[in-house]
Amino acid sequence: MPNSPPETRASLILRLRNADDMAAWEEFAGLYGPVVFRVARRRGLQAADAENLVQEVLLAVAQSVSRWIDRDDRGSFHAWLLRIAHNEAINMLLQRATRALGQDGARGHQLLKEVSIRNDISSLIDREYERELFRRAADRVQQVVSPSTWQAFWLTEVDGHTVQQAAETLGTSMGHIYVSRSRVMARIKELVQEYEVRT
Amino acid sequence: MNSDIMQCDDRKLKLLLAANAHDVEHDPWIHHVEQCSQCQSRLRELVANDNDWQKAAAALASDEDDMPCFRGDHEVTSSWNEAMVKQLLNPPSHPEMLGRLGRYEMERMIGSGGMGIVFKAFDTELNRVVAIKLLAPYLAVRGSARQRFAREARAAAGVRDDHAVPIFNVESEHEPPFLVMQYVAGGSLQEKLEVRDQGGNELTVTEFDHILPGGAIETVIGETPEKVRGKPLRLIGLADTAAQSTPNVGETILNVTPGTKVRLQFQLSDFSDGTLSTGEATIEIADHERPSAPTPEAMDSPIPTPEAGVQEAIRQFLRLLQSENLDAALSMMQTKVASNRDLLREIREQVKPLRIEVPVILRRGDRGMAVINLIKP
Repeated sequence: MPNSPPETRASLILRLRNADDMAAWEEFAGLYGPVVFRVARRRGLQAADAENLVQEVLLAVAQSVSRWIDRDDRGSFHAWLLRIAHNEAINMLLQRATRALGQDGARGHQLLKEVSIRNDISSLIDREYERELFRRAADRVQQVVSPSTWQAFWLTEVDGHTVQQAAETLGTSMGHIYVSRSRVMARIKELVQEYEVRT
Repeated sequence: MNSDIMQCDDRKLKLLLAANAHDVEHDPWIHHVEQCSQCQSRLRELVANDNDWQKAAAALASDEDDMPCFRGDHEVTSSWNEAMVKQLLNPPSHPEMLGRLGRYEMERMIGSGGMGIVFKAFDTELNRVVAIKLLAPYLAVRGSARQRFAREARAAAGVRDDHAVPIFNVESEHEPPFLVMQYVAGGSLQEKLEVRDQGGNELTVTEFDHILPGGAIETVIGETPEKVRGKPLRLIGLADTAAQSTPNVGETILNVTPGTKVRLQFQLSDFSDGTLSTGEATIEIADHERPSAPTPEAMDSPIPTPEAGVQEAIRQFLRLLQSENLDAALSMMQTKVASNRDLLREIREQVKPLRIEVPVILRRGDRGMAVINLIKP
């Protein structure tokens, strides 16, 4: 689990103060919806259940955000959201886990297991959030670089081709592949940092 | 610059990274990187550490196929929920309702999109169920969006047709603006689009796709299903609905004279497997001026044979269509045109793309109208 998970953009939080600003909600849901969905799926929920969980989390946020903003000790928005996500996910997931655990009547074992599940979910959310930032950044970079530049990155870093194979595939030199993939990664990294710095 | 005598230089590598892909000035350095394993590694290190490279690869390589609601789109475009929309409304007068907007009691949200939200509502003054489309608040602050919303309302209000939803009221000065229209129960075109085949069986969107090779569907009123948009179509039969017949005329010419509007039965066929479907269509051509109607004498004159002149045959054919004398036009096609490939081709080349409107039946029983623009194969 990362020591300092990326924070939610401050501008987004401020805009959430205005409940009429649905554009802010779209952005919020666009960022966190996939994160919560993936965590739920990785925890074994069916797609429909995972979508329900996303809706419950969004609903919980919508109902609580004003109270959260008014608190003096509110801390980071992301951490607060994670707590809601954790609670919603844990409520649903523990129901399954504790059904099996309850058969042997070992309460202590059950509590330990619950803690373990909580930790798992916490780690998953942090990881998925971070991945979501990379995906968003990559989407934006792909739109602004040339297809061959993007392919140099994709073939070598995602598809696992060697630099030589990528060069042959794209009909260019290996030098171009080395440079192009690094240019793409540099821009992705800049954007990810930009998302994080905005908080 | 000779790459053999270049010395490895972080500053140069950073310039290389910042440069545009088309910037040839740095080509010697690209060549140097190709030869220099140290610079290859250094280039990678300058951009990100190994952990970030791995994170990027893992994020992009992760399988999203099991995540239908977010596949290929990181923006959730319809994430409105009741808690959010309640804040746009006044408190309801009945606890089971969602909220109140003027004299309208909102019952529930029935759809949402980029422009706004649609509610099922109750008009407390006229005691009727209505649908209300509310412009999204963040768009309502934009003058252009408000104007577009008002334009849409005016345009929709100007249409009186069994296949168009009537507009009851527009509140363009309200914050946010909304329009009130007839509530039509059932789903949207996007959910399920169906047509009936000859046997009266309902066809799904997929089947609809399958039976439409040849031209192109460009627009479907309402929301255009992705599966339908742009699919090819070929009309192989048509007849006046009054005639209660659907003669098969082979490769029917679909383009007729401007200014006419005729209601037709049509027959669609997939030439690969012979699948057939029938329906009704209104054909209208409005691109150019309507020619003068043919005189009775002209109508009574014998239909020229292809040998008498292709151009004259075409003119006669178009006149028949223009005068909505479809029986005669179809008769001509069957007896003269369909048997003459040259004439058929000539007509096809002379006429313009055709627009037809096809009634469709939604899965839940609603009726809609698909607008189909036919183009030459």
